[in-house]
Amino acid sequence: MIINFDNAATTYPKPLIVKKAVAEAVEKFGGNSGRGGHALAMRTSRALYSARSTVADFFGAQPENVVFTLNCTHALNLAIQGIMRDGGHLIISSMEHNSAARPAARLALDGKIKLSIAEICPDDSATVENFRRLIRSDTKAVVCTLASNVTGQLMPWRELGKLCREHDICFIADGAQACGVVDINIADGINILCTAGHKGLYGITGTGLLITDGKYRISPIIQGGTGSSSLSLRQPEILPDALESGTPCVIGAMSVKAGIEFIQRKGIDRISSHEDRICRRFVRELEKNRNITIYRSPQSSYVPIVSFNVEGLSSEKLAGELADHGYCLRAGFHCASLAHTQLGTESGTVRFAPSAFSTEEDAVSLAELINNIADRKKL
Amino acid sequence: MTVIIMEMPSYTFAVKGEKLLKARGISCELKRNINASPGSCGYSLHVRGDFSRAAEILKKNGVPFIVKERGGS
Repeated sequence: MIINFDNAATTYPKPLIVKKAVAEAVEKFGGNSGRGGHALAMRTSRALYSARSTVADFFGAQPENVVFTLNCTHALNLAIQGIMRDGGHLIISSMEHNSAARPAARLALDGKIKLSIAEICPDDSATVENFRRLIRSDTKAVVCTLASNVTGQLMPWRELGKLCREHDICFIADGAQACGVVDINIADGINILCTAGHKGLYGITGTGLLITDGKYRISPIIQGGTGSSSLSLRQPEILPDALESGTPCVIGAMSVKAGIEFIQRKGIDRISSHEDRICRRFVRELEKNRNITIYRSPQSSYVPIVSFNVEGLSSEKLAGELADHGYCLRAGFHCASLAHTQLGTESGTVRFAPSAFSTEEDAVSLAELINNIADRKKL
Repeated sequence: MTVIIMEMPSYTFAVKGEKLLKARGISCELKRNINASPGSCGYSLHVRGDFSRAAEILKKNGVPFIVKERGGS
């Protein structure tokens, strides 16, 4: 028996429409997109464009400004390194995943950029003020997750977008935990949205997206074949070619397209409230036990993620016990050293993350098991 | 009827241009170039009919192109 509550890592199961899209892509779209004029290449190219177009419509972007990547980490590296190539000052939040924090730290450690870290507070206005205070004349970009992958805390991203616009600073948003459960339109102040295709968008693993409004030029960090300007040794400047070297993962792109269509059919609000209801019930059940710490604040809003710990038990040990009963939850540091430093969670946390396919009954059964474990520790 | 061949800088812009023109009733076809210019992606839009309107639509929507050939068919 597998009951998956590790959907913040990657969603499982995938919708039937996604499984069918993958099978169809393997069967039909076996050409190389944008390379060649024969029927197979043309059919594959059109399929990839249709995926690009679906993503663009979903996030309020233009199709040419949608770049398919391997994952959100890949997209964030393209964005951060591409925007900061010529140096300058970068601000990241204290809740960033390593996918943003590490490339930023690498650039700073190499002396190529100046880096500041803005503390995220439970109160949104305090968070925005922390970013505002760090802005300098040479601040080139702000990187902030839309929602923490550890606690699920939703960030004041529209306000941060506004702040960046006022100072002509590029706002790079990590949407890995928000896309699919929060209605996001990049016109709401995001210059570059980086996200995974395989989490809330229900595509297969190995998929990610970089979506830009085109305002800031992103220098490519990878060069190669694009199918365009083939006689030139210079990487094309035009998007998406500038950032999409090499054969694209058409199967993955088609899975993301199908995943978005699944969300559109079901309704993003319906999915979000379903998962939120499960989280609230789960929290209510765990709150009955004083031996359990839940990392949520009444001042903050959350995407459907709950991080918690049982007193006297390491997060890995607790997740191990839950796994013995078939429950899949991620323990440890969730690739987010900054966030755990801020939370003071020395042995990490256990993270509960439902999906559109999760049930309240399973969440309650899991909470009962956790409560039993916590009670046993108390004795 | 006059056919205008518009070379496109990327396949993405080629399809975007094709969709924009067809949605506005302009007959066009996306084809692989026989003699591609160095800066092109190897695909062109073959537009039949009102070229100036087609060009205006593409420019308005930020779709770059280079007019390669004009001819009849």
